[in-house]
Amino acid sequence: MATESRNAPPNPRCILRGVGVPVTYLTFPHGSDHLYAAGEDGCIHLWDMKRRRIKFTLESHKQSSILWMGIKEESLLTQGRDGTVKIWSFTEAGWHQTGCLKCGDLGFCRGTILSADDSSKWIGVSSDDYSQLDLYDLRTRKIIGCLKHSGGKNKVGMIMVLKCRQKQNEQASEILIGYEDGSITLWDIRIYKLISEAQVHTESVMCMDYSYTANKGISGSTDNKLCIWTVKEEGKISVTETIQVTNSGFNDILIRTDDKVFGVAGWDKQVRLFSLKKNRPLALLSYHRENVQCLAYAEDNTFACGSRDSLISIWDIYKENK
Amino acid sequence: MSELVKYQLETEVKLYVKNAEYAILNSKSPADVTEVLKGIHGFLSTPPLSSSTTKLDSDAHILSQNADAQAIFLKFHYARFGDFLLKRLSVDHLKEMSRDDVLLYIDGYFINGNATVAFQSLCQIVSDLGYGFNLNKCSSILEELLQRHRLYNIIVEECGLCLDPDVHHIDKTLGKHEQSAIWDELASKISSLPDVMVKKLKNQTSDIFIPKNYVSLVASDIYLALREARTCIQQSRDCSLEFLSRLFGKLCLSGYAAALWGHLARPLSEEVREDSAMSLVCETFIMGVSDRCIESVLTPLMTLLPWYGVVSHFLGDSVTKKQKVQYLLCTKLVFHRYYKDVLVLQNIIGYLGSSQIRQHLFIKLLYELVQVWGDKSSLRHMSREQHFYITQALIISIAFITEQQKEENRQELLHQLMQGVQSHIDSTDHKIRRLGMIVAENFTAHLDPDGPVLKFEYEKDEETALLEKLLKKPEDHGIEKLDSDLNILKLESEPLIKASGSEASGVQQGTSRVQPDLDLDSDDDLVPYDMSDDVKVTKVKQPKYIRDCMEGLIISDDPERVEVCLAVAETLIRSNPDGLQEISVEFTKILLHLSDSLSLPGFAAARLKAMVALCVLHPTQVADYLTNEFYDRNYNIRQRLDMLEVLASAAQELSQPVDPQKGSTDVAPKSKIQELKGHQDGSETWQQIVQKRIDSKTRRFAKGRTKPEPTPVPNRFAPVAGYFFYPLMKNFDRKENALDLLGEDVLLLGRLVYTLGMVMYAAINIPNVRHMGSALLEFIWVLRFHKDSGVRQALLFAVAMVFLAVPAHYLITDLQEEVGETKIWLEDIIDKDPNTHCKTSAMQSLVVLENSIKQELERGPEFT
Repeated sequence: MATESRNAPPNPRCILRGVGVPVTYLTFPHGSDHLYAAGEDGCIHLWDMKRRRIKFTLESHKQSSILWMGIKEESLLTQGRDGTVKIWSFTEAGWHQTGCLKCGDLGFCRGTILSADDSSKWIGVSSDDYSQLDLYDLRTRKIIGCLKHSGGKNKVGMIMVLKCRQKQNEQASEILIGYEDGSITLWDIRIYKLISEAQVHTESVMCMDYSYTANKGISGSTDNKLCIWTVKEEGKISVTETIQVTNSGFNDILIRTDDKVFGVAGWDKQVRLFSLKKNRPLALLSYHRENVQCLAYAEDNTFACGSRDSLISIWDIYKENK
Repeated sequence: MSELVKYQLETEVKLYVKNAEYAILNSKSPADVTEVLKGIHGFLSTPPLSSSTTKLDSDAHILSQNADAQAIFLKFHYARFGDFLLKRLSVDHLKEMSRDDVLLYIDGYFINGNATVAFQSLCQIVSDLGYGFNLNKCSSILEELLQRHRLYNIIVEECGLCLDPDVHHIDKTLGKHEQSAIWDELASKISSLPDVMVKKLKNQTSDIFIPKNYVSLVASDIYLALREARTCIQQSRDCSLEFLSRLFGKLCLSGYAAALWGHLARPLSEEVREDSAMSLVCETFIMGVSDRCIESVLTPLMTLLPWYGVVSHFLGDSVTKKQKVQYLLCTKLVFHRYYKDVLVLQNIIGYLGSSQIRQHLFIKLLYELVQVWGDKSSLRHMSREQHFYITQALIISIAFITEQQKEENRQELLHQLMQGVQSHIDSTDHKIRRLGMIVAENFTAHLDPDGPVLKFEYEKDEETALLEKLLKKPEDHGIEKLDSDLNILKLESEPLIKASGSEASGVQQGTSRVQPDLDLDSDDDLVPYDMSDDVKVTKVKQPKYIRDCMEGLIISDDPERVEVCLAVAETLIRSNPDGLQEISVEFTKILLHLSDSLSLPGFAAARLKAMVALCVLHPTQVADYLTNEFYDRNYNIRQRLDMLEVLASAAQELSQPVDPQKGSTDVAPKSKIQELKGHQDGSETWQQIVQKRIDSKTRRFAKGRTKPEPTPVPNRFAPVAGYFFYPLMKNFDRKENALDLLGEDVLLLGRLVYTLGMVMYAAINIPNVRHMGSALLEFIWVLRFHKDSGVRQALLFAVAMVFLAVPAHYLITDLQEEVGETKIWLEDIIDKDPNTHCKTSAMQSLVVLENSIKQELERGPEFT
């Protein structure tokens, strides 16, 4: 064992103030020292991380909270709670909208990009119809298919979270969907078929992440348990372990790309870090005075938390362990 | 055959035998002896040619072939000549003879001859002979006899089971009494054979006479005989099983019952199921056993039969016919004995309840059970195990009550039962209370399904599960059981395979164990941060001041606040803030009156801990308050029990020595010590270097203490022990409105005595302990004949604590009189108390006393 004496609780590297409204989504674009932050007012801010200043602001969805952002080559996708996904392209004159897709405006589900290469530009967003996922082709802006859970005896409820099960830089063929009734399903998106489903939680799946390389998924619900599960060879989802956390309710879960740690944002305003291999609790990031709603890892393992208290905290934690 | 011819023949045979004996005695050469023996053997071996050849022949050889002569020989001379052979034969005779001859003529004489007579004379001779060659010879012949299953022949003969009427040995002329005397003798010889042999041969006894082997041999012979009897009945021949019954009874009485039935019960119960003739045989055979032996026959049978349905095949309706059997089954085995195995009860009750003819007995038994079960005084004087046994019997009975019986007896039974339930629920023993609840629930549900449903809340454990299982009629899984037995046999042969398998898995385990190690390395570079801030989020802030905490507990409208205050109360109190002393009594009062109306998790523990903390920090005030409040009005039993518990725990904690350094180590930073050390390591002074060299060259013979002496600390309990102790004993006999310790509040009294015992033990090593001890012994003396076993147990506990706490030299000097009286009382309890727990506690107390006195006396001379 390493030294028993534990380090004092960590502090954030810096705090980004200036969003002004509760932060709903954060993402680090590839290959640049920037951070996109989306707020509840429908604006997207691009932060220069060196100067720690907002570089520019884009008002994408008028006065409606932004659920999700996706960066795809030169275009930016934003999903608002007004029921649209807008596609933006960057030109000399700044960002301008090049397209708009329709999606469900009632859900809480963030969309996801399904393809990593140019060949097919698909995204998945939850539909207006309950428990249905629409797949769009970005080039044609048309629905190319939908994954509808028939529900069987019990209705599974709304789609809560999506996560592609794909190798890095490869076309996704499978997608994991968490539903309102606590079940998680695995779909084959090429043939639009359900592969398997498992009742992981008793309450709605609030957040979920999955690492293909570690074959490990983590999902949180409204209680104080995090479920760790794997996808077996035949596609079966089986829970291997549960972690008891002090306080119940989770907002977001994010596994770092190097499969070493994962962060969990809870309803108790704290963010917890766990080691991915042993699910050992590592650190408690306690800074925010309101719930943390979104987490993001940069390529250099800088960790960002966006909270309802309008602040974004940047942490350099376990960064050197590459 | 005319009388005359017969007489002539008799004389002739007699003469022949006489001659033979004479010849053997005076023989010169072994050949002569062999010749003579050969002649005698003729009487036994060859089957008679024809009984019509009555023509007399002087030639002995032909004489021996004569059937009548053979009969005469068997009847009059066989036994005697056998005796003669065994007694007179010596090594000299035998060593000259060839082995085959010996086997044929001497061993063969007994083995081929009449089994009964041979057996009897062999047994007789064995018990007469001293140690020597002849004894060995006898035992080996007996062994041979047994191995050839001659016992079976004996039984068959004596019971008249054999086909051939000629071999029928029983002498019709004998009177009934004589016959029974002979049978008794034979039976006792058979049953005592192992003992006799062991007594004679000691270490050299052959394996066959070891009771286990012998019994299995006898059992198999009996089994064969029973089957023979069945064939007899099937062929409607006459036979009498009386001898078999006698023999079996005798064997059972000698203590082989369980082993015998162990061999017989399984195969017989399989056979009686299908075969009514066999069942008849078994019934006759068991019922033939005399009253004297029937108990030892029936008791193991009841424990071994696998299913109640088989019992009636074995016993028929004999329970209604035979008084003794009825007494055994309906009274002795149910009320006077108890067994761990419920099979006995299931067999008896199932047997009684499953037939119309025996139903009246079942109902009678049921009434008796209900009566005994519910009787207050029998509850008090019966051991717990016995009581549980009777409860089991009651529960089993439920399944066997028929609808008609329910109709007829519902009112009466329920009436009696409810009285019993009442007396159970009054009991101080929670297990007895629970038994009452279980029986009440199940009986009302079955007897009166339409009536009001009784539902109690009780803890479930093995005992309740067992009782629940008994509610169903036992199922007949005779054949399954056999199968499972076979499986066990199979399993036994498997370990070899398994062992080799486990090696393989061991290797696997080894490899898999390496795997996580790799993980460990890679995972370890992530050093966890301090996560002590990871606490439960509550809306209410934790109170930081003791008065805030108190306030939060008084204003109990906000559940969260109460929860937080209660959780933090102990830590707040333990930090012993200024001014705690003034409010300690007030705080105790608040806690004491706090009720768990919100059903908070861990409420009771947190409350108790807080109170104990108060009592420990300010014992004078709090203990004084609690001991006074204990006898005050307006408290419920729960609160009074809490007071006692707080007092006991606080006393215990106070009596523990506190390490004075322990408190400071938490505060003292470690870094300081390390700093100093660093200094020393860096620059050793010259004195140290010199001292080290001297030390390394100095030889010491004794080094003194290896461990530092424990630092003495003041006993925190000593100055305050009185506050915990005397006031508690003050008013126990005062009768209040709400508190009547000597009457209804037995539970409280028991707890009080127990607490006094705890305080007493906490007072060990206190100067005042002698006085406390004598006070407590006096207190105990008043209550020593308390009728409740719970109180008695508490008293015994307190006594033991006195013996432990008070130094032994006081026990034998100042307290001598009290101790003597207590000792007599303890011995009395060991003898007479119905409760097993009380008995063991009393025993332990006595042992404690004896030990401490013994140590004291051994140590005595050093001081005087």
